[in-house]
Formats: sequence, C-alpha cells, structure tokens
Amino acid sequence: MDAQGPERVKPYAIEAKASYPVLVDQDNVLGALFGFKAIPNVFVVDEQGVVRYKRLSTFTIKKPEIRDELLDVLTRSAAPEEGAAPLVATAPNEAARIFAAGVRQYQAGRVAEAIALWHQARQLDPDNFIVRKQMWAVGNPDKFYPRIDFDWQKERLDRGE
Amino acid sequence: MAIEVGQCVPEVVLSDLAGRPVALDAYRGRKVILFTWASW
Repeated sequence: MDAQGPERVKPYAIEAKASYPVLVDQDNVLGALFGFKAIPNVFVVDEQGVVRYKRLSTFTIKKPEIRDELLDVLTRSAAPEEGAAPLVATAPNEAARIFAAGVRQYQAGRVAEAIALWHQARQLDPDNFIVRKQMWAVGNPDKFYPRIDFDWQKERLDRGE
Repeated sequence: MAIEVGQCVPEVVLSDLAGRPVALDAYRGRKVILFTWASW
C-alpha cells in the first residue's frame, strides 16, 4: 500500500529480493475491502477466489505458531461443499472515499491539498494507521526515508496526533 | 463491511512495479498468499 506509487515501492522490493509479484495499492482498495487499518496483513485466497485465511496487523513469519497456521491453510485442500459465501457489496465508507480523493490530489502534484484531505480522513477514522502514516510519510519524508524514525512517530502519537 | 474468511474476493485491479494493471482474478486456479506491507 503506498499512495506514492511504484517508484517509492521499488527499492524495498529489490532489497527484499522479492521473487513474487509486487502490486501497488495506491488508493488503499485492499484496506477498505478487507477492513485492515494497519500493516502488515496476510490473506490466503484459494483456487476459486475464496478467502481461506486472514490475519490482520499481527502477521510475522518469525513466530512458529503463525507460520504453522499459514502452512496448514496452504496445504489443506478445500472440501467441495466449502463454496463461497455471498459477498454483500457495500459502498466505500466516507473516510476511504476522502483518502482516495487525497491520493488523486497527490498524483496531480497537489501535496498540500492531499494532506488536508488525508487529515480529514484521519479524523473520521482515528484508529486508521494507514491513513495516518501515509500522511506523515508524504509530509515528513526525512522521518521515513531512507529509514523510519520510530521515536519521531512515538512523540507524535504521545501528543495524540 | 469487510471480507471475511469464506467469502469471495471481488474484482480488484492493481498496478505492478512497471505500472501495468494486474487483476487478482489472473491468479484464479492457484492458491495465493496476499501479503500487504508499506514503506512507511
């Protein structure tokens, strides 16, 4: 997820020696769809396009029990009766809509307008760390690139920002 | 209303690192691990 697009993402994919497809979700479409408000998250989608596993915000391959959980889902084959439950389509919520409008502004080079919209989205969805961190990263690139300054973030969170 | 386990992922199209559109549907028939991360 990054409103800043592929150029911002590429160095990280190279550093991670990613041997898998890397897609850039500039509008946070997946966050709105899957209901996550922070990263990282992991989902397993089966051969029929049905979600079989979801772990929000707390995924780490380093924890043996989480790794085993994931391996178990990957090796299990879906029983034929396990069809897809119908998905009720819902309109994106107001905060997600405003966040995406901010991305449009950012892409058009209007950074101040983008940050103002993201600030609105953050107020509507105060526990959404995707909105907040994207806004911080664009407004304060020196605190995120090339390395994240976590002390700086902690100070802002302590101030309720 | 978020997608839960047991529900089908709707059509989603995202760009790859070269800016080419990729539909998640393109992976139908294969198991997919979807890992979401960010630079920040």
